[in-house]
Amino acid sequence: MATSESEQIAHVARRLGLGANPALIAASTDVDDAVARAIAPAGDAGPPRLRIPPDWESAYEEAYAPSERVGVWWLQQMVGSSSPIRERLTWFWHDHFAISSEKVDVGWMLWDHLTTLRTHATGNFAELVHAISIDAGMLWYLDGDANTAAETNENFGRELLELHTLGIGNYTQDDVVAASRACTGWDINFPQAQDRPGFHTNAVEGWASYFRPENHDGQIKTFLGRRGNWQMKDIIDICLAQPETARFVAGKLFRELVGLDADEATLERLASQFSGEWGWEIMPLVEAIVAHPAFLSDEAVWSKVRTPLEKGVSLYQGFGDFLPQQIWDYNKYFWTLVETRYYPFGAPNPAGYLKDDRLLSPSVMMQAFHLLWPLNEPDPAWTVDDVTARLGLFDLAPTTRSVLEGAGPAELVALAFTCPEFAAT
Amino acid sequence: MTTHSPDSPDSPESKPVDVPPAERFRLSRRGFLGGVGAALALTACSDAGEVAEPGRDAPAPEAPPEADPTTTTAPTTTTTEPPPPPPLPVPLDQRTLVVVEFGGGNDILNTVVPHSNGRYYDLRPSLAIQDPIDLDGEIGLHPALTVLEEEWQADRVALVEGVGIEKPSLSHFKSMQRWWEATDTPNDTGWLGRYIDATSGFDDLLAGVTVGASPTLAMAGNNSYVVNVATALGLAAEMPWWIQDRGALLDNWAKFVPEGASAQELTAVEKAISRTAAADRELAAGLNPLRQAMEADGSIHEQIYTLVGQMRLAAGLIVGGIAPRVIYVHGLVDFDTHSKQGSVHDQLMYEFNDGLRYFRDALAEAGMTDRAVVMTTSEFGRRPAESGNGTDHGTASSQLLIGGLVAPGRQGQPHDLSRLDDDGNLFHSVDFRSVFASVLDRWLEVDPAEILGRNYETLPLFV
Repeated sequence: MATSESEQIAHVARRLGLGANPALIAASTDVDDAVARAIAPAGDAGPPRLRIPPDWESAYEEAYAPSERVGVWWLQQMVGSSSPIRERLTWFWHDHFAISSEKVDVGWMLWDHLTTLRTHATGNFAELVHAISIDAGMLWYLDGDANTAAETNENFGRELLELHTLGIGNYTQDDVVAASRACTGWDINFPQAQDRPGFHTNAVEGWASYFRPENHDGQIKTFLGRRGNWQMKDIIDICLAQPETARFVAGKLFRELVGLDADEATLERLASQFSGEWGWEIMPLVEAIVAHPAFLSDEAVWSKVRTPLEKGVSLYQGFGDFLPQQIWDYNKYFWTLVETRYYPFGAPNPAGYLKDDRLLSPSVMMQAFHLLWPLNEPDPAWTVDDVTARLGLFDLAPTTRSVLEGAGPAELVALAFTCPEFAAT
Repeated sequence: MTTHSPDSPDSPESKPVDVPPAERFRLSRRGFLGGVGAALALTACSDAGEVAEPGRDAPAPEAPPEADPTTTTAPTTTTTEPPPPPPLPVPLDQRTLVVVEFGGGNDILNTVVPHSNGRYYDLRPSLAIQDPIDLDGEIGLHPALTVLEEEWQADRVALVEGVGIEKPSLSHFKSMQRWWEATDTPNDTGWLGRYIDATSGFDDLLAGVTVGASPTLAMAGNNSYVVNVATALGLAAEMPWWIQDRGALLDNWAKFVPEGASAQELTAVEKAISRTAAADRELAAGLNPLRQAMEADGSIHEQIYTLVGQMRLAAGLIVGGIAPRVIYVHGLVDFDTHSKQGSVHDQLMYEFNDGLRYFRDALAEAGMTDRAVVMTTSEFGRRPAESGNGTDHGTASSQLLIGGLVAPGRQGQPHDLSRLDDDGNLFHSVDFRSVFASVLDRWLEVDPAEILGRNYETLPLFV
């Protein structure tokens, strides 16, 4: 059965935004209009600036924003979706440049990190890699601040190559060592020890990253066959000059938005334009992927597994008039998402969040029922179409429709939220 | 998704060999010991400077690809190789490992108390346990641990002292990660997940079950799923309050999968719904007796919050016939006793003891005492010297193994309170992977090196 236009519009909302924003779907006159609405540029003030905690103790106090407040603010942006594509791309880059609040547990640093992500999410990839690599949260998460000339720590250097730019297999262990040596010298301006007030340096703000020449390995390094006294920025530039980086990133974004792998000719073309004529600008790449026939193909619709986060955001978007939306309600829901291990700054490891088949485990499948808890008792007057439209579903398999038609009002909502179509995206 | 090992993609030897489970099984323990044991024997000879007999200094034989004893040539040197212990008297498919994780870092010195050591009382002027239950004149148990003492007296407890790891981390995050992954380099799978991967994989959804609010990373594998239960109702799923009948809802949910469709016709999502609903039914049936008991005493919705409830669930899984190979209980997370340790730790010890009581009695009543071994873990011990009214993050700890088939008594080295590191913490004498290896080897009968990435010395933890 060919995909209906309504379902194609919903597909645009699901893939170019986070969740399945029914407001966007309802406002769109056709697929092109939906795409235009989803990728329309919109200003973003970024997360509101917080006060910098003066010491370790206050870093964890409510006044200085513990980690979950950052996540809750972010969650609200996803639900509100003033710019759907920014929410999709911010999450995509967070998954790509993953950090976790289980290690980086200073809320202020998470705000700062999120600001960097959102500033560059729809901007320029080269600028994003440079900015995020000297982000204090990233350095902390990957032990970049423990990487010195005296004792090289390869964690950051390896992930820069493997996860952030070249992709696995496109470098040797010697390249990892050379990159790590070049990245030495970066530190984080943490507060002094408890008995000494103030931060280590006044040259930069507290909790920010800074370069300490005395910790940098200033010797000649050979990286990907090039000799020089490289620093971190040189390593990033050399990585960006490798064709593998554009292929890796363009291919990953194609899979994110389309849900299928790009064919070789498409990947080659997108990669060369991305690093060439587009100068690493992200939006031309997004527009080219969306314009590719695969994006709206029947194979692409529902080809991915919907994440717990996308389900939760959909619930708030579709049933906003049927659940409490105060800040403390979002707070509670944030902790529900923490239980699913799919929440802002909750990446289980540097490679990002669980995907695809890993989200089809019995425990994740069952968690979908729990994600419904904030909803008030469903309205007995709701029909199957009322409920599925709120969830952005239009083309239902006959089996799905017949099960939903046979359910009582409460069961109808629980089953629609866990039906095969909603489990996919 | 492929295994992500941040520090090891270029060193394949440190990763578990990626071979199909059936292939892995052929490298059984017997085959493994035959090959490597012989190689070790040869090494020992040459190290001792003995003149080798003709043929002895030939290259060490490769491990035989098959474990078939009829095709494996026995090594000629039998004197240095202890005979492999006989298999345990309970069939492998009736054994369950129950891991109980004390999250936050349990204060081992106030759990198993070195009461004969005056240094302990010097280091703990206000927090020392004054009235421990003496075990052997040297160590004793926290006074709450009466059931543990009964089991000790019945020769059903092994205590491994001085358990830790080189270069210990005092961070909960890093240390838990290391206990869960149990490899030398970071890994996004857990040691028990890799064990399930290597044995039943996707075929047996209930081979590994986590008891608690969420799955544990220790059970995360690449070729298996993590399943968790929180109540005796079935798979963990807290339903919205307006759902009256959980069972009826899930029955209807299973109907999304078209009847009579072949596996090829089903989508990945439909298959997931199908197997999840089936696993839930199997669990609900097995846990039905426990559910009835818990509904009768009103505790049916409280299980996830208490260790007592969690241990009842673990016992229910075993006596109800689900009999997972591994049950992971990770409910008690309040062991991070920086302050007010006295009352908090006492309460935790009482809960642990009550949980053990339920577990022991349920298995004994069913005649299944020998079918399970309970093993405690915690990401680290706590600092010997008290700080204010609590204790800070420490390093080495001890592990308890409780069950009918454990070799009773003390193993490892007693904690040396007079020799501490720069932070005032204990040195370890046993790598915790040695304990895991011992359990994998004898209790779960799998080659430990394959699961843990390399060989560790094993301890005689079982009869």
